[in-house]
Amino acid sequence: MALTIQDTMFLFIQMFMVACVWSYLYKTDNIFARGAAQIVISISTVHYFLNNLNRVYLQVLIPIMDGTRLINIIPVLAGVLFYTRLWKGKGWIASYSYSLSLGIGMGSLFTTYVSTNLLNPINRAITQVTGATTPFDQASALLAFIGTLCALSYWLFTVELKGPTRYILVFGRLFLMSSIGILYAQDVVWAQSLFIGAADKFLKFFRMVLLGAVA
Amino acid sequence: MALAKLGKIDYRFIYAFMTIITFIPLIYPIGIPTTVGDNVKNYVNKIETYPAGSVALTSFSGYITMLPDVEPIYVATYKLLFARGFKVLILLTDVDAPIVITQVLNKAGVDWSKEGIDFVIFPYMSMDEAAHVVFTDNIRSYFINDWKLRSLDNATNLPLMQEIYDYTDFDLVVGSTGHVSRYNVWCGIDIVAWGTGTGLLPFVGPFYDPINGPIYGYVGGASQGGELEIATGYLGDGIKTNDAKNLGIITLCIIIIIGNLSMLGEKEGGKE
Amino acid sequence: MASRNFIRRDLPLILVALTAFPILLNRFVTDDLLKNYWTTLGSWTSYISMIAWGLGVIYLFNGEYHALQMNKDKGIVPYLMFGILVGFSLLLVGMSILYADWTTMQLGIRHESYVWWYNGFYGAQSQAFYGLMFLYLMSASYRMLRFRNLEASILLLSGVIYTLRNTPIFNLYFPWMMPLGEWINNIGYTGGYNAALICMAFGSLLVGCRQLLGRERTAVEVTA
Repeated sequence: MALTIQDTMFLFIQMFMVACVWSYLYKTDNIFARGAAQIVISISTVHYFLNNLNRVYLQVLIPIMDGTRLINIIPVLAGVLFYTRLWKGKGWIASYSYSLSLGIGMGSLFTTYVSTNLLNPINRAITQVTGATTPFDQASALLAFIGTLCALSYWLFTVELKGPTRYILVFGRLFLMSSIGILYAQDVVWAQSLFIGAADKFLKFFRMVLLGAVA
Repeated sequence: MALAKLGKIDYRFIYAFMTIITFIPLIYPIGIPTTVGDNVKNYVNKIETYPAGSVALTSFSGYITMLPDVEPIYVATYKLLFARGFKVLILLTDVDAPIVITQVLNKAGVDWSKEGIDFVIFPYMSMDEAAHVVFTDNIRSYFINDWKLRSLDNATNLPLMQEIYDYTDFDLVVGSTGHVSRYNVWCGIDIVAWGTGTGLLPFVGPFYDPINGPIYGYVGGASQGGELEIATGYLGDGIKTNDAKNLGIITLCIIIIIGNLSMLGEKEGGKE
Repeated sequence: MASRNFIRRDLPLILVALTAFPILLNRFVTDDLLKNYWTTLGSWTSYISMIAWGLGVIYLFNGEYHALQMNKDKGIVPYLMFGILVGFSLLLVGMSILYADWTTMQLGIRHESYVWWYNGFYGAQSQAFYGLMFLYLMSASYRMLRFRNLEASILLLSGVIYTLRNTPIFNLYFPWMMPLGEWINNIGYTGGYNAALICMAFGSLLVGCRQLLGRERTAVEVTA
């Protein structure tokens, strides 16, 4: 199937934009890379703004106008008050918007975040040991449990330990290093996928438009 | 001394070399086979334990920048869910999601005439911690209508929503980031997790347990996306880029070895 | 002066506590009034953040404009860049209005022309931007991942093994690589990350308590 002019243009734009970004590797301050950066900033900002504007209108303002959810006036007012930051001397009014958002966030944080991020990991670290079936799993879970305790000691107790107790911190640091290593690996594999995705788009123009290959 | 010189490779050479290494398999695919990891097998097995008609809530972030890393996972998962007869709810949590979900569902071969019957898409909303909890407590207090502005109470257009009101009506949650664990902690719903290499994998560890949950299986990043395609039998883009990934990582290993050899050389040089 | 301080500083802090306590109470007391309060207020953070988004846009353009003013002597490039920024922004706004569905009051942000533009100019190059990190990480690996001491070695080994676990060819020829990679992820990584997670939760709890008790002014205080 022959490519339409729109498809050809689309592939060319993608290829050109990728090339502009990659030009950054050759010379950091070049007009192509800077232009590409401005386009990314511009498009993402406006896209977010338009989407949020549209959602606010449909989800918040319409129910106010048709009288089904008049109470939505309060969050609208709170949102608008944020803009008082633009006027010198009136910025303090935005404190009320922050307070409202913060209060709601705080209420849910105490109930959900704490139980998920505090109680659940503690519970998991213990049940992993007690629930393991094979000796290998038990040893592994015990190792993770000890590692958690040691790493916790490293984070929470900043006093310098001396004598044999210092090995608690050494062991904790080793576990943290292992975590950082894996985070690094995850980043490598993730960035590689994006790099391959961009490379594929770059090549697609030559493959499909110039060589006539099918997608 | 010769080894020490290995530590002086110019960074631009590394960039150029890696770019060429990535290009070669994209132009001439090699076709290296792939094996499937346990976390991916558990992901598929968990989904397959549910009977047809079960309700799955999919939290779809669909950030367009991350698509190469996560699109194979989305496509294979939706194919699997629909093939297993799931009723699917789709929560759009990123501003790009309304655009991306259309592309993903088209790739998954979804029958759009079944929208409202087999699946419902909620409109995009910027959702934080509080919003997720409210959504699970009472869907209708958070959303008034679906993404095409049809009321959730409209039985003609959205018959599926007439049976779904809150979290007690979900059987499974397929989610993308750390917040999904809250669905289990608070609501006791089973979770399988999907997402990007950096958006999911760093957060999933403490919650992953294939037997007790809360997260029973996970797939993170394009490599595991390729594994998912093999596990489900729905081959797609994930498997296509495997060769480039393989060659890239082999080169990474060589680069690390060269770096360490140069360090050895520097040490030897120091002794002399 | 006292009343001024009360309105500007103390009342916002009281508002935090007044908003948060009923939500907290809702988790421990079954009451319809509390539940209604919670389900109504829970959506508000989304609404407020979406409305406040425009502030970010204003700050962005304001910042760019001031940068332009400061770079007057640097030739035409800054002007050109600012022109691109404004031009593309206006173009997108224009397209969203042009393709709007006025019967349902939806802006044209899902129209195929808008999506074409968005995918073409934004999708590919934002992927390329993030993808650059791969090359930087390669260069960093060459310089950083070395067997310098025990800690650096652990970092190197766990990183490399997990990378290899995610690489199909290694799993094929070294089948033990996958279980080993997953073991390191489930045990080595989780051990350290659990600790980080617990500490973050402790920290959040501490800051939250201070905010509820009015001891943490920085989060709500706006001086401008």
